[in-house]
Amino acid sequence: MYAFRVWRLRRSWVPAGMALATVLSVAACGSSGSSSSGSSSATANGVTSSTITFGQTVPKTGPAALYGESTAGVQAYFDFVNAHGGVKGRKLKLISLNDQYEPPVALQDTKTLVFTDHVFAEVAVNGSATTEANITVLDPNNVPLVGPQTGATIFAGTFRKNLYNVWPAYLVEGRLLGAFAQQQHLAKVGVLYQNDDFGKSLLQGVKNSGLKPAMAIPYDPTQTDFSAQAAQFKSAKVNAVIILAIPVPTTDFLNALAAVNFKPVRIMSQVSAIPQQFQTAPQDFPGSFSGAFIPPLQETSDPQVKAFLSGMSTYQPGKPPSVFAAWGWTEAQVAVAGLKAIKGTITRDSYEAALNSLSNLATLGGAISYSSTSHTGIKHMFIVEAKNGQRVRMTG
Amino acid sequence: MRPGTREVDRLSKSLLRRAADRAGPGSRPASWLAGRRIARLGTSAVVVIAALLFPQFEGGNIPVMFLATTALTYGLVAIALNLLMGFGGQISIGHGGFLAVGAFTTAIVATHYHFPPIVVLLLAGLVTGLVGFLLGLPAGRLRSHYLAVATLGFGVAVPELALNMSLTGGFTGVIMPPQQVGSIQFNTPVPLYYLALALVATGMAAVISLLASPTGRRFRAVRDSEEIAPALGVNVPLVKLTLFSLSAFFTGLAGYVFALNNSIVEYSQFDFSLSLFFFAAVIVGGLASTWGPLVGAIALVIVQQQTTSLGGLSETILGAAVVLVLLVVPGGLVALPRLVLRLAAWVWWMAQRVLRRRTLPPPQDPVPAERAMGASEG
Amino acid sequence: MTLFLQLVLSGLGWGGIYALAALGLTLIYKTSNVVNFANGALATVVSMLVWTLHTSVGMPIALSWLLAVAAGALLGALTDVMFMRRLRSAAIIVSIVMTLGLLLLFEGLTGVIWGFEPKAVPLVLNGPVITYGSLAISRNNLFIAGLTVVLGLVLYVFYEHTRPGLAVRAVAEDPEVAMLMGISRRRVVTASWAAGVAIAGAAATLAVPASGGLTPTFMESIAVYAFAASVLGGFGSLLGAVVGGFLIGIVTNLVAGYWSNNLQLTLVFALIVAVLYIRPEGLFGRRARVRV
Repeated sequence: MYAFRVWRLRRSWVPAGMALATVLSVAACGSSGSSSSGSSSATANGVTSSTITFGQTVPKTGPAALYGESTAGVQAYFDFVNAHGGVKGRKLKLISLNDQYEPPVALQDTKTLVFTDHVFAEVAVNGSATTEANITVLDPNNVPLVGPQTGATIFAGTFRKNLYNVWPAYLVEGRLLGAFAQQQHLAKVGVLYQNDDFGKSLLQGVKNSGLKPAMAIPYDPTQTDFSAQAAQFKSAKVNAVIILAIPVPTTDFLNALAAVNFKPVRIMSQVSAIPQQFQTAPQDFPGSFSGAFIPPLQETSDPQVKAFLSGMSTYQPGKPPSVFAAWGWTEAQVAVAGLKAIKGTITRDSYEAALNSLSNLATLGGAISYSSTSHTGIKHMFIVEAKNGQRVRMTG
Repeated sequence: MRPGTREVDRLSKSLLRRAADRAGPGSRPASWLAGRRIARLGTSAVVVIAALLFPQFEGGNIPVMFLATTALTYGLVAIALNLLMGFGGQISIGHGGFLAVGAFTTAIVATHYHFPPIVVLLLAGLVTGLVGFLLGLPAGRLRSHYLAVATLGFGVAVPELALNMSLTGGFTGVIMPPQQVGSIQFNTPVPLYYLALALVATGMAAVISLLASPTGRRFRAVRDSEEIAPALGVNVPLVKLTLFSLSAFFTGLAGYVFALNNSIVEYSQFDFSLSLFFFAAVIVGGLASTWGPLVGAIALVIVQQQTTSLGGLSETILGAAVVLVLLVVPGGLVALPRLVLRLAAWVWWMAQRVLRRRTLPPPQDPVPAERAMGASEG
Repeated sequence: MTLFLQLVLSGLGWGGIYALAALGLTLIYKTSNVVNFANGALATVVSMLVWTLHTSVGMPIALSWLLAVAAGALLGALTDVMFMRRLRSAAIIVSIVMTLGLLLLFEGLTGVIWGFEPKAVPLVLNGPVITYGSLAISRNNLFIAGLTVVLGLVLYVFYEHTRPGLAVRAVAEDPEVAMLMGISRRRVVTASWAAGVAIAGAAATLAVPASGGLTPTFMESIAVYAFAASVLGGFGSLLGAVVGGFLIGIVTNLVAGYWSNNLQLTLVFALIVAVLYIRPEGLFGRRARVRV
């Protein structure tokens, strides 16, 4: 019996010995092992004699899955360019990974894109928090990112060497929404905002317009039940609610407002004012207002809109030509314009120099200019109203 | 013999007790599978050497190393959970919450203070252990299903808290800063892999020596019969408390590796399905066995990795594996080799009967239940 | 004051759903002493069936409901017969482990068969909101609350005043004696599983519109509230399930309205721990503490 117990104790020697061995191995091999982690070498930067590869992380599943439609817009524009000879004799390739709107997944995806797929640059990455995760991999490896789908102040308000904004800053959009509320003489305004950089940047913009919200209530992106917030706004008798949220929570909130029979003036961010809301929030979406930089897609007299719609129907026929695809198209336009402006060999540095030289580039979403000290995106936005199943530009 | 209904009943009759008592190595050499002790040691040696040499072949492959380190991290959590479930008889479906505490502690401490990595590692373990202690306090007097519900609540509350506190980065999470000892960068794949391996080995060694001690016998007393244990002089709430704290401590250590491996710690990494994963790994690997949790974790990580394309498939496989283990193979994956050998022996015996038309005595049952129980009380 | 009342009214919808889900759990627990952690997943299958029958096959919604709930009862019975029955002689913990395995299995299968895109299920009652002064409650929420109360009463009458109900209570109290009296324990337990899953399925389908869409995992968070309701009300008590469910629905909505919507699960967890510490048997339950 005693021998048996000693044997049990001796069994722990095996794993204990292994622990010791691994510690020694770490000391011996640790420093040499780290050299094999792939860093960007000249030949593996996504450019071959026939292709240039871009990477993207977007949500394809989950509450933000609609944003994944931007992939179709990017792909359509790339296909359009490829059909017209490509860029510098090379075809454009897009690798698009699903980040489920979650920063840790986005970070792993970016590692895959950079170290395994060896992409040249990233384009049209979606989300504020996810972009933050991406750049922790992109920046140390000097990989450019064109057109992150966010206007959060940490990107739009801060100069970053490798990051080129296309979207208007949320501060700009927030200020537009706040100014609109004041213009409409809405005395008491409540704000519902997402509890992250996206929502907080927009809120700051609203406050910058001089508007003083009567109440500002945060929510987290996974929330689905807004009956309490609706009740709060109703009991405070606000004249208007500014909704700074992504599509699904916006729908749920609008329906919650309908459920308590409360219909204030509703103003929302361009991020969630999408035509689907006419079906999903049929009572409270019509008659709402929102900011926009992509023109309403029924304005086919605009040549950019026409090109987008024809590009989508030609190259991505099964995919909806939605405002999300329009974002992707716009961001792809900027990315390709930068490529076309490269002088000499195609490297990441020459690409960035070329981007910095872009001035008043016309895109679907407006005009963009960069310089070596400024990477801000589109500056012009306007208000649209949700009317008759469409977003209609408001004059004045 | 091939398990029939009654055999299944007998096997399932006391899942925990039988699986645990079956875990003794080679202490019953009188079987026709002689030399099994050597086979066991040999297998362990091969596994250890393979684990040590693995980075020499795959060290440059970042996704593979990430997967390997993840498997080891989850293996350590499974070992910790097995201590609680297999040897303490308590159910926890909230261990994802403990991993979250360990990982966030690591990332937050490393971001705000410049402690040496070993200090950060120990802090992760101790803070998580403290949380386990606090959770174990009210759990002391509760039956298994109440405890399960409480751990479920814990497992979903922790990520929600993490989402809503600015300390834990809210929706963005906390970026994990590099950790360096001398010239060794622990945030690079190969050194991190070895660190994870060392921690797994330490955890296993600790659990084994703990169980061989008098404390271990008290744990088993509580598992076998909560009602009778006090009559044997065992302080049941204290035992449960100790188990919770220890299990949490080791999970906290795993949190350190988790934070380094993922480079970011964020609330969405710790949802309920993670807690279910650990639970499944322990059961499928082999509850209350030495190698079971690690084997289960590695197997299930590979299954998850291979089935990401079809949503829901990995969960289905995990669930089916748990159900199969409960109904057919109570010892889990680590008991499969023995089961296969028994099956092979039965087939061989049947073949002999058919071919030679002679009745041979049936192969000796390698682990007769009665002798197993008698020997282990030794 | 109106804010308080409005929050209470809005909380009735969710309260009813939690109460129904807790009722499903209670029915199963009463006769087999097993906390069915897979109840939410099984209920999700029922909701998926409603969606399939109504949206894909095109049946009218009422018929879809009927068929799906019936299928849910069948599913519950099958689960008991195929999986749970064999573990009856083992320790309870083994059965609980099995339900957790079934949770994974059914959630996974639901994902494989129906996918993860959120699906819509129509409200049971549409139409204008019912107002009373400045208070408002949707017809659907009123229906849910009403259904819960009615069902609770029906079950109460069944258990207390009918012979089959007496048989079920006998099995719940003392299975061996019940068997001696000629009551088939097997049939009672299987029937309880059938009823438990059917009711939970109804709860899940009612919860879809307010949950942002029907997905394979949408019942996970609702399940936490259902368990909390059972803990609060007492695990074996029907009255406890109903009272506990409504209490939790209303209290969480009050907290969301007056303070913050963001820490609901944390609040529920704290509630569970508090109840388990102070009075583990809940409001109406019994026999929770470990005694020698």
